[in-house]
Amino acid sequence: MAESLQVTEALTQKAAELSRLELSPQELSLFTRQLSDILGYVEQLQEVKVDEIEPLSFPHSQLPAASLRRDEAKVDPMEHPESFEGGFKVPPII
Amino acid sequence: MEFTTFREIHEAFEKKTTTPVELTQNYLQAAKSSAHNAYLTICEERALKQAKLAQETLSREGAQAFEKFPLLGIPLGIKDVLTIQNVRTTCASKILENYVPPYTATAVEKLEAAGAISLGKLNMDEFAMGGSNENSAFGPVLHPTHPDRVPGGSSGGSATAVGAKLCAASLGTDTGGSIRLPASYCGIVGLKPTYGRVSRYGLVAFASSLDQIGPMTRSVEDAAKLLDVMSGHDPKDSTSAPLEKTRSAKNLASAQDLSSLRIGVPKEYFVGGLDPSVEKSVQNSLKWFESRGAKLVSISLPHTQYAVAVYYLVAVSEASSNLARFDGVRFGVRPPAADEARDLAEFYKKVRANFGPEVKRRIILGTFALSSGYYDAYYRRACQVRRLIQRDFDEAFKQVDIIASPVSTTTAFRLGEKNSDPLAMYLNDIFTIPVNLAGLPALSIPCGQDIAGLPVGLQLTSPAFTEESLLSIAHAFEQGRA
Repeated sequence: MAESLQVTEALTQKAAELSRLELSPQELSLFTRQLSDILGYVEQLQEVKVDEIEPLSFPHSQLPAASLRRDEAKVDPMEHPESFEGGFKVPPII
Repeated sequence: MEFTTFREIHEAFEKKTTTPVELTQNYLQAAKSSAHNAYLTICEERALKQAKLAQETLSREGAQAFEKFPLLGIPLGIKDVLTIQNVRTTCASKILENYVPPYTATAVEKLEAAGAISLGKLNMDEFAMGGSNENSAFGPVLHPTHPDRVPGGSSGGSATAVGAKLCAASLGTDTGGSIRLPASYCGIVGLKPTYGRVSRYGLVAFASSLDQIGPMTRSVEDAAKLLDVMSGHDPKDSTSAPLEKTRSAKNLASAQDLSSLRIGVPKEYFVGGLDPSVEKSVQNSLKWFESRGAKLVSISLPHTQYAVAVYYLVAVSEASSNLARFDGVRFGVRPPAADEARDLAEFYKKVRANFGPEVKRRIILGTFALSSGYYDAYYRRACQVRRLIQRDFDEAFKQVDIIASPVSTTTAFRLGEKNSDPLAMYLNDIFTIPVNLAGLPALSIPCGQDIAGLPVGLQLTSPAFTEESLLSIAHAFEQGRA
């Protein structure tokens, strides 16, 4: 699949949408070209034999697990601009 | 500034040729009048308060105070990706331009508890993404001695501040070489500790399985002193290793016997493409080790050629997830355009327009690599090859104690030379990236110069959690070569 991947503006646009990023026409064209270069470069990973190789996502999984701290409630952890009926008053989002 | 190392500073305090307040004032003055653009925020009032406290401790307890406070009165610069309570932390991004964190990073907290002074926050590539410090939203940092050159990145402000004597030492962070590359370009010492050695609490995350905080200094001994204070398990970072602090500074001995040392020289790292002056400096360093009785062993790290590809999938995937929090609700400046948004998707887009181009490019690439239909071919496969890269090192360390290599293929390049081609910039990290993928400790130490007088760095890499011997070997090299 990846071997013949064509990086089109539609593909870049889709990844940008998923990333909640708005791209100008210039950015779309530039990023498409650059993504095509980068994904072309990483295609060499397809030649590595990886059957039966467990993915490594964390470097020192052999370490004993650190004991996790207890959750603790912190009252008023930061200075906030305004409180309102027991909550924080923040600007509206939409 | 006539005092170069922590040792010299403490001797000067003892002889009363300077005081913590005077030294801090001098550094603050140097930082304010410098044209390098190394500092984004200078914490004058806070630093002077810390300096006064150091001075009081010193006059009360005398030199004995250095036992209890090993960094007493040492003025540091902090990369602006680490939080300090009530001090603006920008990550050199417009999106965090006004962010004032309510807590301090554990690494900084420990250094300050040991008596160190934080002069201010240092410039960097935006969100630590870059190798030249040209990606800062607040302008590039200049090389300490060659203003037409880059200082390297992403900890470029940290390297220049140390090189140009705008602080006694600094903190950087290293995800794919961001401490070692600028240290190499600027002719200073830079240590990336083992993953998990230093708590990442209070470090704004770029790629969580790769990021580490480390010291950037003018001597190996200073790096050891900072690591000894910063290291150790932190209950606030579940990925910090459940180990004691290092005790490396006390173990340094310049007359160290190197006769039983086996140094691995990876054949894949010397296959052409190396700048001749880099190759010569590194080869001369290897000869020095040999002259002290060390044995050079040719080793193979067969998956080296895939490291950059693996890194640019793993790091961007983690980044796309970590940077989702910059949405204008949890974190991030809310620009006026966002208030006009008709729906949430548009709101997010208006906020996230404040990311710079390199950050956008990496988020998009990471989102793609994790997206349905592509995850197995890209992200999962990259993690599988990552394990093979780690195994290469495991095999190598059965034969050798330490691995020596260049830090970079070239010395510091010119501003603007590579920033139109991201892939060329990424390939610059070929020698530093494998170390992060495997989670190992490595340092860059000055080992020569090119014709233009630009510094060359030697990279020494050792097995996980062996910083004490790594620093000891580097110290012997530094003292012996001088």
